[in-house]
Amino acid sequence: MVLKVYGPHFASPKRVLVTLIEKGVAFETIPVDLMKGEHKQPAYLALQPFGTVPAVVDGDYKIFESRAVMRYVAEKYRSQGPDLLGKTVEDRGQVEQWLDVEATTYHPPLLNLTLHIMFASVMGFPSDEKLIKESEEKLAGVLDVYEAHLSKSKYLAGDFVSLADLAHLPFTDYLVGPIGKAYMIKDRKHVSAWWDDISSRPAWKETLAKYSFPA
Amino acid sequence: MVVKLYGQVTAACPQRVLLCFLEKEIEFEIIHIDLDTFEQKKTEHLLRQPFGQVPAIEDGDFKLFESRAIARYYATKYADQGTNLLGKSLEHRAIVDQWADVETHYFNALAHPIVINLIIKPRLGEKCDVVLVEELKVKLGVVLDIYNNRLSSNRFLAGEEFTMADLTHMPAMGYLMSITDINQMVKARGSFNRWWEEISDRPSWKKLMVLAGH
Repeated sequence: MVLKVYGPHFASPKRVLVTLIEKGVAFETIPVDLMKGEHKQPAYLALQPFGTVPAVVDGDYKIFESRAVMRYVAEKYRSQGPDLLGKTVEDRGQVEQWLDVEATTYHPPLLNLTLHIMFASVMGFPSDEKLIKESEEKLAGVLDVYEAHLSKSKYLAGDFVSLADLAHLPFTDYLVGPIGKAYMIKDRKHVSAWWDDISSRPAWKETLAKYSFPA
Repeated sequence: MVVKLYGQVTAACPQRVLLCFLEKEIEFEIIHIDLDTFEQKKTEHLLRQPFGQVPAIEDGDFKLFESRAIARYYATKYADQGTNLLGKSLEHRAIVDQWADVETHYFNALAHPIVINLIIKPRLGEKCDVVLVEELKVKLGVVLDIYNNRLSSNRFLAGEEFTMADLTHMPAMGYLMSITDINQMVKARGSFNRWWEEISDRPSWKKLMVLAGH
């Protein structure tokens, strides 16, 4: 029975998709119609009680939270594809550190930009200009730290690409594309080089080619 | 050589690491970073934690920040010592990770601004955003209902054993329970209250409260 990922057209599920593709794991996707409120229906809430995407079903086993699923896939399929967790316990510690930085520090201001610039009108709430400005400033401060770090380290956790780098792909793709703030990445030499590197990986290109939001 | 934890013992994120050390019976040394005078934003600390936050650890040559990453690292490194915090199988570990991530995205996202407004701001003489706090409490109620449902059929968040998933919630819960309205919201949810009473009865929590001066 093949692993199933719910909600592939949205950003958070793409953290899972790119990891599966990197590791060469077969999977199926099941669309979730957020516009029709499918994620708030009992059938979906049984898979993900907070009503967000992704949810993953692997036979009898159910799991949600994109980064938890990334860790599961990277560990279960450790012996195939790139080792996205590093080689040692200390390497893994660095991977977890930067995965957490993405979750606690990079993602929240970028999520505000995503919601208020890309989705406010379609979701029917007023776009908050003050929040957009504050979020951009916060994210700029975070990117300055990344710039200093990536001037000494090829990837976030060291000289190997890891879950920490991949976790940044979906929403940063929004940042340089529909959010219209590519300069935040491009104006920072080492962040820009890191972004060019990770976003040109075949697994990410395949993720975008197959699962971008239908135009 | 004993691991050094840089942070303030009353702050939630360092407490997460301290709880892990106590559960895993790992010796440690606390090096105080004074948040009231913004020591965490000064140059010396920024070399350890470039985002200007606590905690950070130094263990010989090995350095790490982000409290949840530190806890996972030590839980892995000392897997055979003290409480098993990471589950018994790969599938179990992933459910531990799932509920630990829920803490970051759903629980802490609400708990943190509530605590900042109702506990920290008054202490610093700043004005609390009353409207925001009321909105946050409503959202917290919805989240606590989901937890209550989960804990009605599971003793702990990831199943029948205490794990990282439960531990990671404890520091913020400690603060939230000191707020009357939130305390009542917790007590009104039978399974969630049962879970909190059980985990806050653990020796590690009691030791932590002594360390934090309670």
